[in-house]
Amino acid sequence: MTSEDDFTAFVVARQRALRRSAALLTGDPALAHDLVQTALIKAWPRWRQVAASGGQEAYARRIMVTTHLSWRRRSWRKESPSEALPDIGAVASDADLAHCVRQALLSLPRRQRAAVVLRYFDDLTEQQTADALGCSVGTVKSQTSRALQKLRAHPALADVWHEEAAR
Amino acid sequence: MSDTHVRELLREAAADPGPDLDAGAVLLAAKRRTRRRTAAAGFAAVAAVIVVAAPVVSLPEVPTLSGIAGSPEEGELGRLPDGRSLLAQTPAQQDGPRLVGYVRDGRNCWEVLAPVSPRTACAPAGESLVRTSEPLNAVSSGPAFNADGVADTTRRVYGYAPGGTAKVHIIGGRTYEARAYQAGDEHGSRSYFLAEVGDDTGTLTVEALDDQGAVLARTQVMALPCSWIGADGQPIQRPAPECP
Repeated sequence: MTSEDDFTAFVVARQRALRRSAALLTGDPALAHDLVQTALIKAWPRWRQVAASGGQEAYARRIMVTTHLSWRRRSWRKESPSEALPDIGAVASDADLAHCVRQALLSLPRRQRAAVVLRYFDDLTEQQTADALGCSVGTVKSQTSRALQKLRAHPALADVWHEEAAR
Repeated sequence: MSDTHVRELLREAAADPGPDLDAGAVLLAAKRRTRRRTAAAGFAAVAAVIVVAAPVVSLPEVPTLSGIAGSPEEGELGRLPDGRSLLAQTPAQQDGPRLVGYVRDGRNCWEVLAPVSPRTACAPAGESLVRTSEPLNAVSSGPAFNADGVADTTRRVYGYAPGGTAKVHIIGGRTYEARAYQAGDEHGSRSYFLAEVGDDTGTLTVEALDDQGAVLARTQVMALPCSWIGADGQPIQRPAPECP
């Protein structure tokens, strides 16, 4: 199989998983689309070497995360957007819950958000998460811990945690 | 909050990613980017740039409709991967061409290629082209407060709207006209809108309209009672009674 065939097969097979992670990182499906495509394009020059070691997925994911972390914030950065909803009532449906989780995720700083997504959505180990983020395992632990703390305190998810505590 | 519960919530929140990327287009864009970088590193290639007249369509987000096609180093750009004839493309930007024009079934089409996701829109020659596939995105902000008091008392709804949008109005307790403007970011130029929504809080509906007033896209956004800016610059939510 040539590098081109391998690359194309990888894109076909793994893009949906990458885009689901990217959607959690960016909070925007269109941006997620762009992020994954940008990461794949950046991954191509070293694809032959990476494929030889079988590390295509980890490599693509690492580029995706570092690209996301490097993207400057949108032009409305000075607006301090506040998408989280302090007055959310009972969780009425799966769609509402998904919305609340996404809002809570977006309130996290990017590195903490990336750590949570890699650890708990992509099911990477702490070491794999550290590799993807380009940091130490200790940093992954602290970032994840802080992120979970913030999610726990987030008003949009208050009902979720109360329900869990009540069970 | 158990690990299992966090995993469940994230799976719940992971949206359906939508239409797939075109793997062939991604590979083509990747090869083009690699080749361009290689050339830029040491080769003073003399590229005969052929300026091709653009199809007569208007695409508000893209500032230039004429472009380059078929330069010697990128000869395959004269034809798209699936065999369609390439008419024109916008000038190459940092990470590759953003837009190509071609003819399909006798209609002029523009397609956004890598590094953004492929999106296509077509129109009969001479007619206005609107990229209806561009999503409508809206968020709310403010009033914002910091430890010293009021930082920004304006409550706003803003975002980007489909290209060609004549106006965006926000339906809540009242209707607000939104100011539309063009701005560029790392994803190219987009049509943004901004509306100050006074005292209305709760769910607001945002609609993007075309020149004839037809609704192109609709979304909802929550206007918040107030938000606080923490020491780290991140917004902190406070319940409404605590608003100054």
